[in-house]
Amino acid sequence: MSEVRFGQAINRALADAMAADENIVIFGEDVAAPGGPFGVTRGLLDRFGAERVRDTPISEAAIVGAAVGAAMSGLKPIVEIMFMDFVTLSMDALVNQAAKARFMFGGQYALPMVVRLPHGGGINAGPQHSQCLEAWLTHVPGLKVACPATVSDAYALTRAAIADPDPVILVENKSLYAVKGALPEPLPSVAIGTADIARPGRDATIVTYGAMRGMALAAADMLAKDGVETEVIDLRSLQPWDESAVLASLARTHRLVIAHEAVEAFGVGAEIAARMADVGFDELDGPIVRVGAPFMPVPFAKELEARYRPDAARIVEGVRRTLA
Amino acid sequence: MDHVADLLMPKLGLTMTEGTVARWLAAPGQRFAAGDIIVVVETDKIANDVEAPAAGELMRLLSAEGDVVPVGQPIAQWKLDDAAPVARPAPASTPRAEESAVPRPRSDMPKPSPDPTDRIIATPYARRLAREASLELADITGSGPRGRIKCADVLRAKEERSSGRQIATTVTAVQRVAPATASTTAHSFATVDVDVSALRALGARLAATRDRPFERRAYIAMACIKALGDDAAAPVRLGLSNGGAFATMEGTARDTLSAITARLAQASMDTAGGDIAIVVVDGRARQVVPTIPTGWRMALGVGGVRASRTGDATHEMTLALAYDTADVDHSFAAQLLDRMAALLEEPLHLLAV
Repeated sequence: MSEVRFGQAINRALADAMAADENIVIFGEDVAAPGGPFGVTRGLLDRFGAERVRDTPISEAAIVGAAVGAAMSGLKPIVEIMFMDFVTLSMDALVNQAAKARFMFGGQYALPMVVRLPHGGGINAGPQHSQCLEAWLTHVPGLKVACPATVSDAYALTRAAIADPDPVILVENKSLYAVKGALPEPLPSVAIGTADIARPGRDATIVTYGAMRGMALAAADMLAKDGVETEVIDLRSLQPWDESAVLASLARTHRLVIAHEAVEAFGVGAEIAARMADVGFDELDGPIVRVGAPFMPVPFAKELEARYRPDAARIVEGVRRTLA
Repeated sequence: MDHVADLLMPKLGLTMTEGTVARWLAAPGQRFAAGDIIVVVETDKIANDVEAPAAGELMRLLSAEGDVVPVGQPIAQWKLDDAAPVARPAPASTPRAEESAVPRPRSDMPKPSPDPTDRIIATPYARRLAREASLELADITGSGPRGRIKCADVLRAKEERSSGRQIATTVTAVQRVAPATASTTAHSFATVDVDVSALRALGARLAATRDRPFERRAYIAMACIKALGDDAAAPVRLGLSNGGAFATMEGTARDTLSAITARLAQASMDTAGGDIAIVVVDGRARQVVPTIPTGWRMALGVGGVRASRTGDATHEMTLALAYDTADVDHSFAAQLLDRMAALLEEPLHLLAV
């Protein structure tokens, strides 16, 4: 068991996977010599060489388009889009090519590719460098989407994404890269689509993912002081998501709050709320409450951004609302 | 033809049991027209005008202002003109003065305009709990926003009922522990059709994730245990028919389905008896009513699963519970079957510990 940073755990997973499989290549903006905008690919160029770790021009469409072609012709590309905001430029390659290949060519092409997308605010980076756009991708059949929250899951989900035969989007919250945590030995493995009970409880369930896991746990601590025991479910995977784990938790607590950093309207939480209102209807003892960002672009000013991002206090408010 | 009738305390909401006569707007001997306000009645929530359904005359007051009168009790006597019922041209909420001459349908118990609070607001979970406990939502006071009835309110009502009806619960408790004396045979049985669509879907899902799928027997055993075992600590003793003899096992409502399955596999063939002896048949036999084996309090016969053509159900099976009327009464047997059916129809409850 060692203490490493979240970004280092991903780095370790990339390196371990590359060492085990020489078909794995990495490319993206500043991923080679500079070691990645957030240092996640540091050292990989030296270790695996310029053939397998490449810097690209600033062209997200070309990066993901090349990854689709590489995956179709036998490589296992891992690409990074510097900020998730710029996935907009690669949507054709992702949505119309990567997601469809298995289905359009009689199952002859599997596309084992990973697209790493740093998302999230809190670093004062403004409206075009802070967004959480994962709901766009979870809406596309053919794409898998994972979003780790802990050091251990960062390692395990990166390995699971690389090992998956289909395109997987790894959403990484920028505010987590520097967070330290335990990386267990033997190294952890997690199947895509399985949630984690981050904290058990009996009075209400908070379903969350990514950086909001920490906020949800802080909210649970605050609520525990008033005798409210909140269960925190970290989804870890958004597509597919662990519906049975959420339903089982709802059947224990009968109250559901879904918290994410993304804009609340039409977000991942909307899908979870809709499914639970259907399959979990008879379990509900209060309204399903979502806690997310307001329907506004992420503000640049530090004070405004602090008000914009959901935090533990807002989650506590949400839990209290469903407990009323 | 005129006739004298009682003016009764109206029921103005589902939860109203009594009302206060706030103000008389007509005096004895006074004539009134249809739609005139005769009296104002107050409850905790609202003050309501009680209108005359037809023209007539107030004869006698039976209550004074300030009196609290139970719903349905007379508060006055009046004589209504026997006019042919004519539908009112406008809803009751429109001003009355213009239409005071229009006769209205007569009714001895005037109904004010529908109270919008009549709709009972309750959470789905609270509704389910109330249904399972045979409690009327109308009898439960909600503590949530807008008077919403929550789980806690149902549990409180359940608690109040059981403390208020000590005898009933005691009888149930006695029935659970009474020795099985099958000296006099006055056997009877009750049956229920169970929609097993959800159970089959769950079974199919679980089968895909487990090495050994759960058998139908395990779900039935679990339903018996949870239906009978109100007190989670007291084990329920079941016997499963195995070629004429019964393999017995014990379980509590806190056991998992996996634990029950494991115990079924290891069930011993002792002859001590217990709560329910279960006979499960497959195939097209719809219903089997077993005899109660010696030492057992009740026997449950489970028919084959059949395709259904009614409602949303795709598959059904029939449960028959045989009991000795000397120590199990009919309503207890019916309630027990009802609970079993509810558990099997919403099998998530079988998984919940």
